[in-house]
Amino acid sequence: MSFLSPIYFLFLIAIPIVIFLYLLRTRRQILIVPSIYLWKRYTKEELRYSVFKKFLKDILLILQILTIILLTLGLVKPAIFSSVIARNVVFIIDTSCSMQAKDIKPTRFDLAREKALEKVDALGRGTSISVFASDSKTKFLLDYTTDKRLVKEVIKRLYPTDTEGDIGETLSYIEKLNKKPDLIYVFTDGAFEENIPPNLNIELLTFSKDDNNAGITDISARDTGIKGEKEIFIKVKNFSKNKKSIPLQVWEGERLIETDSLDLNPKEERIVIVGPKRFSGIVKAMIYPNDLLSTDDKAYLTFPRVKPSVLLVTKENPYLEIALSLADISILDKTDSFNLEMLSKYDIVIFDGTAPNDILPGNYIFIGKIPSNIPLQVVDITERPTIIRVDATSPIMRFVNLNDMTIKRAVVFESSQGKSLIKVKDGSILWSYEGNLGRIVTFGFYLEESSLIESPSFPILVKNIIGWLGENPSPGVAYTGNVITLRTKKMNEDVTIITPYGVVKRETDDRRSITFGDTYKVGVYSFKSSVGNIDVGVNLCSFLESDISPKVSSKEFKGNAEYRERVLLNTDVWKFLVLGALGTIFLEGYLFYGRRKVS
Amino acid sequence: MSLLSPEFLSYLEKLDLLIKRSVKGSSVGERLSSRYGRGIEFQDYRSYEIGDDFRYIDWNIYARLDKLFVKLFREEEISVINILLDISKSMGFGNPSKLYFGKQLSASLGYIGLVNYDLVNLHCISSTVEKSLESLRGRTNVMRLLRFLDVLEPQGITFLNTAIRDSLRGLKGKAVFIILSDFLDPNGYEEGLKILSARGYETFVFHILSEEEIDPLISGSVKLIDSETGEVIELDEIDDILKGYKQTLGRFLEGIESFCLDHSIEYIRASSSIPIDRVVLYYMRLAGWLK
Repeated sequence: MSFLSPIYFLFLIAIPIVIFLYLLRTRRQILIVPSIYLWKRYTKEELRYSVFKKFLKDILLILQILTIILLTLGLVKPAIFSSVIARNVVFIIDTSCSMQAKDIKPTRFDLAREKALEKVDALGRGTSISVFASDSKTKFLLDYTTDKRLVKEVIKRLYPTDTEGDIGETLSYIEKLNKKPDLIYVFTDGAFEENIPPNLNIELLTFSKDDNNAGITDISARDTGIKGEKEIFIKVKNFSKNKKSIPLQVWEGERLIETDSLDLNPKEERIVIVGPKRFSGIVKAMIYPNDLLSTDDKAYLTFPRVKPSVLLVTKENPYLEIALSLADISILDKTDSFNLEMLSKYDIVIFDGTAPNDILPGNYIFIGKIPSNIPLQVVDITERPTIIRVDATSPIMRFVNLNDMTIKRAVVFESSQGKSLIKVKDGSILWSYEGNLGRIVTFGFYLEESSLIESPSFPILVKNIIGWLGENPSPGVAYTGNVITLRTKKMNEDVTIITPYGVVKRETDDRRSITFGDTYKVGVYSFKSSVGNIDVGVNLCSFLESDISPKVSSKEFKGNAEYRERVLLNTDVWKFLVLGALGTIFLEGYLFYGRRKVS
Repeated sequence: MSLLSPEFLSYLEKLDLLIKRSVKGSSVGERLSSRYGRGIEFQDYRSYEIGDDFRYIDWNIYARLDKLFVKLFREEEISVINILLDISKSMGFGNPSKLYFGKQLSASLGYIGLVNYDLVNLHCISSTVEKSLESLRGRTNVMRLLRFLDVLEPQGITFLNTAIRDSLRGLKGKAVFIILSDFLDPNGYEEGLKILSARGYETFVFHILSEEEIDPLISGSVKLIDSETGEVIELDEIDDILKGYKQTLGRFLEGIESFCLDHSIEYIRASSSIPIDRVVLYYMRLAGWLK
């Protein structure tokens, strides 16, 4: 507080003068009486009455002193800086996976929630409280409210997820809000990046004691190059300070396909390779480390048998479209123009009579034209080529009879890579490739310039090509907190999703796709739609969450609960003080004269 | 003698203390007893019984009726009157002072006792019996009594219970007790009066008050000092609490009065400002103390 005219503090000298006068006024007449027995007896009987009288008398003096103080304060013209305790308080509760650790009974999260509820009770009545949950996402649960009951209900409804936490992101989010909090309580185990914005007043309450944990930190599948065979790579790490012997089991569906026991030193990571093998269905890896966090002891991979989606880039080709409709295709889209972004959304892209300059890796069929970056050279353009040999060993040419096929005109290719499926004199007119660019089949002739389209073998050939190109789907895998995108055949189609925490439904949008982000539990998510059942394994696989060792001490981020904000109040406050002084004068007069009237 | 005027004394000579109970002292006196015994005043006859004194047989009746009858006489006894006068410091207040008034009363009652040939004992009490004038009998002791009273000054602290107990020492037989006090004793009076009542003494209590106790003429903030103990009480705005004080006084007086009534003790109270002749000749006779 500042005073604009401090000289008037001299006016306070009046206080001792008033007290002196009061003492003079109350000098008592001394009388010797026969006995004070009856007076004492009376005062005992009327004690309450006397106390009231004394209070009434004293209150006059108090009012006089109050008047002087108010007048003095008015004269010195105070410029008051208000000091207020934290008014806007934010609660951030860490709901990431590591909060499920059982080093604190029953769990870190349960204690954190209990402490948060206690904090709510401890805060002043006028404090506005906002609540955030923080895991892989920042969840804004409750706007500023003074309703403690509501705040407690919101906190009580919280539960920990299997996702990776990011308190730093939540703090950054809060920092960008218009309404800045005076104090932020963060209830966490400290498992987050310490990129805390420096201008926020944070009190960190950490809940962690032990680091006894081992977990699966990665799971992936890689092609071996041998007809759909793959190897599964499983990374297991011991995060504790002690050596651990960890049993490992790998299940394919209901079948146990691998068992192992890993002796891991403290902080050691080991990669276990399962396969090579043609995996199908759901593959589950389990470890049994007897530790404090069980969520990271399992991981899933799925190998879906899903039909490929196809994009046909053509002006018009009814024969091809009919043949494609007979193939095992989930989605067939047709367009006459294209861009690269569009191409990446489909499993197979067919270019009929057109081709981009360059292609990205993928599965393609080129008819009549080829891009420049595929390993194929045009040797010649020949009229009515004679077929010398057909590669019957290729799965593409299975059950295809080309004996009577005539071709009006064809481009002859030559390549050191890939396979020549239909060989003519100087090269090939049907060629297949499998390499860095994915799988490619190239026709050296326009279909409508051959008798192939009228042949019964044409749909077989198309089906074989589609089957070969689409036989190598990637295993379905995602991480908790990730968004899974899925395309179906129809718009506004109901997709049923069976999750580890229950069945949910979603509707596809106008682009026939759904985006599902509620992947906050580890497990297999099954999407049932018009394209069939698609399983996706959702795993934690997080070093940050599996490393449950105590990280940040509460003492390091001890916020100032009595955060004080300095606000200059209106300097015209002196008017109110003088008004208050007048009020006390009137009150005193009322009490004084009222009392005299009574006596 | 300044305590009582000669004219007032002449009135007192005609009065006697009305004693209801037997108060036989150690020797024969002039007061007729309710009992039969030795005396000169014939009362009745009764049949002779073995062991009766032959001297009281009425031989004339025997001659006429041939039966023995004995004459009965009213016994004449001496009354022992104990006057307990409170001379504590609190009695020194009032106009005239309560002590002066008490002295006048003591003189009056003592004079009545002496002229009626009663045995008069005067005990001056405060916390104990301070002074005593005992065994006065007969008119010749009047001057001695008055002189004794004349020089009394207020002294000591009131302890009525102790003082009454002390006055009973050495007392034999029945007696009358007249207590003259303001009864302003924080320790109470009940115990002492109960002793007197329990022993069968006929007791008269004269409660003397001063005008300043009945209607205190004080105002504002006062510091009251107890004349006996020196104890202090501070009171603010005493005007506002006088009504309450008077109610307390009323309850105190009612308390004494009802106590005396319950224990068959005669009780009179009067202000020291009332003239003594009016108190004795009117109030005491009206109350049945004197006849």
